[in-house]
Amino acid sequence: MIGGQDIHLPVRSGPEALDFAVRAILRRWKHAVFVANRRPEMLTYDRLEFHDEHLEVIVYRDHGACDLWREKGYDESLRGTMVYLISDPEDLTIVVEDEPSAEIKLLLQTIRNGIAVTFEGNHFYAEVA
Amino acid sequence: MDWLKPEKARSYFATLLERVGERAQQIVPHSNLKFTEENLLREYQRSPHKVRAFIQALTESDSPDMLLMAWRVLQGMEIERVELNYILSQRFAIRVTLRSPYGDEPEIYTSDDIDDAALIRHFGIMKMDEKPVFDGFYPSSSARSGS
Repeated sequence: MIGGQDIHLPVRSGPEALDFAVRAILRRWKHAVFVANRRPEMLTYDRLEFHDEHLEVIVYRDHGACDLWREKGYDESLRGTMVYLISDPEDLTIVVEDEPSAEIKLLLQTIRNGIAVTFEGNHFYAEVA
Repeated sequence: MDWLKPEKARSYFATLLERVGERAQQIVPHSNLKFTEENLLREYQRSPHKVRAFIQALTESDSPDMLLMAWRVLQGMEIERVELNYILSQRFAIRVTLRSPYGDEPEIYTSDDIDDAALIRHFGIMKMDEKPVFDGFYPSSSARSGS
C-alpha cells in the first residue's frame, strides 16, 4: 500500500484478535470507518463480520480520511490516518507506515499488549514483546 | 444425570434465551433483539467467536440482565464502568454500565449472584495511554483452542 511494514502477531485465533484490534482502534478513533475484504462499502463496527479464515480490514480514522485515501492514494498529508489489519487462523498482521506516527505506535502497543493479556493471560509476554 | 439430557438442556437454554429477549424488550426496545436459535445461527455465520462467547456465558450465568449485557458488548457497546462489591459470606453485587458509541442512553446491568463474576473473565483487557480499558467480550481460552 504505502511501502510500510508488516507486524506479525502470532495468536490463537485470528478473527478474535482482529476483533480486538478493531475495537482498540475504535477507542482511539471514535469515528473510524472500515473497509473489509476489499469491498467498496464503508462499514461501522456493528456491520463487520469475522467469519473467514483470511480477513482483511482497512481502518480509516474517519470518513474524510477514507475519502481522501480513495482520491489520492498515499499522500504525506494522510500519514497516521489508516491501519491495515489482516487475520489468518493463527496470525494477525498489522500493516503500518515505515515510520509510524506516535499515535500509531501507541495503538500498536495497546493492541500487542492487550492481545497478550486477554488471550494468552500473559502479562510477562505483554511487557517484553 | 437427568439435566444433561439434550431435550432438557435445549428446553433450559430456550427458556433462558426467551427471558433474555424479554429483558431486551424492556431495557433496549429500540434494538429489536430476538434471541432465537435462528438468529444466533445467523450471527454465528457472521462472527462465530461472538456466538461462542455468548453460549459460554449462557452456561455460566442465568441472569437475563447480565447475559443481555454480554450481548450488547458483543454488538459494540463500550464498557464504561464496572462496580463490584464483595464481602466474604455476606454480599456480592456487580453493576455494569455500558456506553453507546452512537450517543444513545447508557445502559445499566446489575446482579447479586456471584456466579455472574465469571462473565468478567470474558472482557478484553487493554491499556490506552496507560489508562485501563475493558472492551469486547471473548470466548474463554479452552473453547478458543478448539475452534
